[in-house]
Amino acid sequence: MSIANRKIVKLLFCLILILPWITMPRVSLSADPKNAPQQKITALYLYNFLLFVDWPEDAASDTLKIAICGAPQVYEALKPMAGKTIKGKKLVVFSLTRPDELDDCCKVLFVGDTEPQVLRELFKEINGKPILTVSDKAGFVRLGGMVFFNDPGGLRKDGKKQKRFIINLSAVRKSRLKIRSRLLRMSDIVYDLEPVNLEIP
Amino acid sequence: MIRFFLAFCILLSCLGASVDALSQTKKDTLVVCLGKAQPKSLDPAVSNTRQVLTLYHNWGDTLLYRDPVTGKIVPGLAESYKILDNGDMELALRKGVRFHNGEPFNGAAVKFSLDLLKKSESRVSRYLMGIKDVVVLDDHRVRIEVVKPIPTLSQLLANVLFIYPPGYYQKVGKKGFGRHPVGTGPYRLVSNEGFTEMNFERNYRYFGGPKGIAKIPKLKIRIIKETIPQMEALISGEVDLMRSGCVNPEQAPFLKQADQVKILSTDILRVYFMVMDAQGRSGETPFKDKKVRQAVNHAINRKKIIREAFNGFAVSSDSVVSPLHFGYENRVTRYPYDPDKARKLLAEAGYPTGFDTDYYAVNNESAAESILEDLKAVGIRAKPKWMMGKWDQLYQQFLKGKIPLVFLTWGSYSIFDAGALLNHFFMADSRACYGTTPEINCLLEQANGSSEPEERVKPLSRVQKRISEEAFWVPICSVEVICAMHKDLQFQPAMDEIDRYFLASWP
Repeated sequence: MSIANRKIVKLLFCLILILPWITMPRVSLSADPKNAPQQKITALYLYNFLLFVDWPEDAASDTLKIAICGAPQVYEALKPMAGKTIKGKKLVVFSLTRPDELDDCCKVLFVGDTEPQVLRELFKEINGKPILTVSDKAGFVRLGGMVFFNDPGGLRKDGKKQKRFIINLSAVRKSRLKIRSRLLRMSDIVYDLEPVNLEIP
Repeated sequence: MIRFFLAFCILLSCLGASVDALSQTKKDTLVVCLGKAQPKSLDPAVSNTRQVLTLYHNWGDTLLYRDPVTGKIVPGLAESYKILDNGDMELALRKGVRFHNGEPFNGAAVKFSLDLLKKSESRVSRYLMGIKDVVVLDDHRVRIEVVKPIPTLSQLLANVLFIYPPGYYQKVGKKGFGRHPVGTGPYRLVSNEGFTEMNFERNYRYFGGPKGIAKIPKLKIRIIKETIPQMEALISGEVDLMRSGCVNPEQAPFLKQADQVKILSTDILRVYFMVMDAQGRSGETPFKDKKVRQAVNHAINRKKIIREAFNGFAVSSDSVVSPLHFGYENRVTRYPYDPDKARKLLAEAGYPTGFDTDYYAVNNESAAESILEDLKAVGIRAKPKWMMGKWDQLYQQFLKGKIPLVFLTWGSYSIFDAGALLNHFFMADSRACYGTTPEINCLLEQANGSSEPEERVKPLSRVQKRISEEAFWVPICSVEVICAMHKDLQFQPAMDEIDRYFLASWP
């Protein structure tokens, strides 16, 4: 077989290989729901915290504000919900960059990748205010935070399956928040945790 | 150069094949989240939850069938039917139809089914009490004999007269059948993993009929016990479809903006209401006093419940039945939200400082909680007995007369007639009756005794007016059913609130 013929055969072979790729119905891997980003799920839970947590009457405001710190993807996932009405109030989604941006309308604070210094300042700013603090970072509850997202597939020390969150109920009560039963029954609850010194990261 | 191109082509091909496999899995199977409650039986005569009823119509068939598009009743397992002058119905049955286990479907199966369903422990016996007997004329012809003409007979045959295989049922018994039912429907049960996951396959020998053969070969049914993980499963693609009615309206705003999900809704027969024990079946209760019942009616802020708990997927109703029921009457006594008036009525009834009561609820926790707050605001200290998702257990207690106050819902077995609800809850001899009057009973008898729509409207209307005057219930709302699914799935929720999974398809 001549070199030219061999090249034609190789090209034809390539075309045969590529044909199924060209003709089959396309399913984009990135569009597949199994690859739905974790931040969408986080956003779903944050939305449900707004539904199933009750804030004290003296903390009532015209809007429900949710602040996101150090988690731009979660902010992007929640942004489409901005302006929607929840419990008769408009939802505001806010990307927080400085602790002093926390105001009285803020009901939930989600903390992502944050320097210990910033976290310390945030907790100092909150200090008993009725703001639900949530994170997916290990040790958050130990540091005085209220809700930590567990790994849903993980096991507890006693060998039982982990529940969806760990809730620090003492911190929740200190801020005069009430978490409804449907969230509590999905949670491992801890009380009276002695907060670790935030000076030590 | 050409080697690189060759390698690139091979890589693309492999990638293509894996994506193809992924899409193939999706196309072969429909994963449905049926709800929170784990059924104890898949037999609709044993468990009357909407989940079990919905599943029945996917693995089983009925003699007649409601077309989900037109709403018309058409022949199903029957080939044709006619109503005789005395109200009896003669049906010609389809020939050659077999149950999933190979047992033939025939007149004997119809008779066996009616006898089974009419037994007192059956959850649907009350609905079928007007049917006297099934006379088997031959293998493929039966006559349904009635006590007196039943205005909703064709709907009963489409929705309540489930068809059982006599041989299989007698062999495995009630429990065995409940674990692994066998029918003639478009899907057949392959495995039941402790009622938390049930796998069905297309019934390749399906006779067709108005349902047609199942479009998606495999059907996987899952139970997920909490609302938020249900939503998580939908968003992450573990579940393709939430059963109609399984989606909590509070979740709808979030689902509406989720990329991979679409939601559809439609009006259905379902109503939400509170029942007060006006007869004192559960013991001495303040609800025996009409003024107390009126007070409760004035205490409940229905607009708030519809706005917040139902997220607008509901309309306020003053009557106890839905606007979709034949015979609906909205010109009834109204009880606008007025807590002051409620407190005044309670004081007049001898409860100036309110009273204590147990209060049961089985679904829509937010609405149940809102009601609790409203009751508290007028001095009624209701002790919540939440039985969320445990319909069968709550309903059992309800039938036994043990419940003083309950927030309930009813879908009327998809029978579009006010009598389907009113007979069940307001006939004196019904176990579900917690309040009625001789006049209401008499009017219902009158409405049941005629097949002429004009003759029935008046007594049905009067019954609803009398119920409102007596304030036996607190009607809350009629709802839309919400159905959430993967954005590519072709599926329509039906107005009779029975999901036809065999009609669902992937593009």
